[in-house]
Amino acid sequence: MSAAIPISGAVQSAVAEMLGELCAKGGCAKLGLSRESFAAILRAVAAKYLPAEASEAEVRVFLLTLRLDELALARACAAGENSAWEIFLTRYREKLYQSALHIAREDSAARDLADSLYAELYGTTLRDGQRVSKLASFTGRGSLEGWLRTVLAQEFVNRYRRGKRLVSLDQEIEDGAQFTAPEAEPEPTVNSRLESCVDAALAALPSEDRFVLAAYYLDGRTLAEVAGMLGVHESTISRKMDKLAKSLRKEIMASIVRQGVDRRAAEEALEADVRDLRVNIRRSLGQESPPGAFSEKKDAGRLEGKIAPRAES
Amino acid sequence: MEDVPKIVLKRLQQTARAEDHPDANLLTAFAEESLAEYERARVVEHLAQCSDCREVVALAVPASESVAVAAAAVAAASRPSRGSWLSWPGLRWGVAAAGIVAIISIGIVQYTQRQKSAAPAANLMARNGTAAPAAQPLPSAPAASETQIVVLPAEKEKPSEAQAKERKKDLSNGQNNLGADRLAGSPSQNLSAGRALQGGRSVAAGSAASRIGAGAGGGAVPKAVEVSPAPQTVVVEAQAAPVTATQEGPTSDQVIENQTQQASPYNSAKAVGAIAGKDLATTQNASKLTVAPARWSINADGALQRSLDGGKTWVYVNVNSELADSRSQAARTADNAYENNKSKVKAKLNMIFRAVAANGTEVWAGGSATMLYHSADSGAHWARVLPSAEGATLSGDITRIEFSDAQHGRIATSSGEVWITADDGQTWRRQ
Repeated sequence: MSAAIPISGAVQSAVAEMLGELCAKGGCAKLGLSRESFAAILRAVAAKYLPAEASEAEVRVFLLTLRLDELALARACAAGENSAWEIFLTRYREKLYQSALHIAREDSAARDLADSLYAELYGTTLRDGQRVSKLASFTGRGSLEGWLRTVLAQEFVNRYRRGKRLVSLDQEIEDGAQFTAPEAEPEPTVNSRLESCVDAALAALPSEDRFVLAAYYLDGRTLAEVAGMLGVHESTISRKMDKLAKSLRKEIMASIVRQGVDRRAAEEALEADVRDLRVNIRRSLGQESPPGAFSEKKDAGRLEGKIAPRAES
Repeated sequence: MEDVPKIVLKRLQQTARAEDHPDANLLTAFAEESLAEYERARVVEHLAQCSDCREVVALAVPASESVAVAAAAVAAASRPSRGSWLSWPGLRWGVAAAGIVAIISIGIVQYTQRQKSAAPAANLMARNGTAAPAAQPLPSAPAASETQIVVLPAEKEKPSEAQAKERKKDLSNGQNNLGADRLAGSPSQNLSAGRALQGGRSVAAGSAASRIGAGAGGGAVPKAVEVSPAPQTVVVEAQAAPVTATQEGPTSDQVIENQTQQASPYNSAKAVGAIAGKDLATTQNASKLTVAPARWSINADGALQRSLDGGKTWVYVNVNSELADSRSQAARTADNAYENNKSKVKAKLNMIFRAVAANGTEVWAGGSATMLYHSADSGAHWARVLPSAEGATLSGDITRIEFSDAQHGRIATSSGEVWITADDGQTWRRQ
């Protein structure tokens, strides 16, 4: 794994010099993790995230921001240390089930989800005849608990992705989802000039703004949920959303009028079909797409844990 | 919430494209706000395009946190309680309703004064009677009835309350005087004022203002005094939401407009009301500026910084003296750059700050391994705080601190705990 990424001299020397301190902080001795293997882990992690030209001082700061104790614990577990597993289980077993329940919102699905993650954590996948634990891909950038939640969420999205969101039959009937004929909705014909204006306006937005727009309008998240994802107060998101919607509209109008389109016509084009917006989004979200986005089984052994690219709708 | 044109969403969706997803480590670090700026930019860019990763991040938000948000929303809707002032939409309607009540009541007082000699009381009553139903279908009224009461008790402890009270006193004094004037004038005038106020209150459609006001069935004089709660709420809430207050301005004007269709002399009253509102807003801005002299931030290395000149220069702040000593020692041996670096690194080892919140002179800063410090004097003196309740203590790293005022705050940790205080950190409650 470390062979894949070249390790710079700065990383080498920083890890070597600080190893004692870092090992102590990670509690390697207790966990049965040797200094050498921890050093290899640290080098690989640093090389993975830091740009190749990072200075030694930058490497030092980076190493200290890692969750060293949790990193050591996870990697000791991955290496099959029993004492580490005991610690891991006492600390995280209960939380893991709770998180799974929070994500799946239903007991049996939650147990299923948590159990399958356990299997992966323990390492049922074989690679070159060796057991490979998913914990080997934890790098200590965030908390181990947060990482476990994220991995659970990935697994969940993987399984019940998109159209398979758990929609009860009752709700489906209420929404009339069963009775809507998708092809009955004509694709709105929009002139390409308008499209390019919209694209330009969207591209000019900071990525965070586009993220907020997509989460709220496309994913149907509540303001509170969007705020929770960004770690800001709900009111901040609420104001931002209002401002965004207004400025976007203004920006698009201005650019399309600049292109010589009559203001009235532009307004009409812009307002076309706003009413069936929700329906349309639901439909497009309901599109099936091939599973396997977060499947790390293929490359579970890689430190990277990079997720395979996947065709997007 | 303003809707975005459909075409925009369509294009927004189409920008989505296949790409390597950020791994679980990066997504976690993003949610916990521990990414370097360049990394965060990449992750956000990806999230803007990838609905799957957005969903993963949304699902992975700690359970307790989202439950806390939901609980706060429920509390805001149902009963007056701590945390309910967090509900912003409610507050907004509250401001609108309070503004309407304030403007109308001021307007009515003014109007009755002008009409001292002319308008017969019965006429006025009739007008108010017709004006009230016109305003009732407005959506703001029912919403306000829930939120209004909620807001008042929560704001009671605000440090700025003294100012608000003073202003309120001014207002109510003014109105008392007006009431007294009218008393001296003629008894029938008083009767009309009382009736007029009753009309004004019914315009608010059973909103909180009427519930706050005591003795609904009292005589004319108590009613004149009763006007004061309404302006008071405007002041207090304007401090919480100056922006929304101005946004809602047109709405309240519209309401007035509705009524002026039936009673045109109200036009002058409306102008007076608007001016009064403006004055409140300006005094509020001024007081806000003086309240926040210091700005706080945390740099990329997790060190706490303070700026006393609005962000032009930043100075490191040490929360404990021992650390300050080690830092100055490090500075003395500055000829040896490496040594310096090492001791700095050591200092950092102990404390990496991840969140800071300031409210006036109250500052809260927290970070690695349950570290939480509080200063009541803009950072001159610090005290370490370890929230605990019912035998449990806070655990994990502190990832977020929110203080909506000096008393009420929430602290979230990497272990998914949320701790709440309603008394400036004296006691804590785990959520």
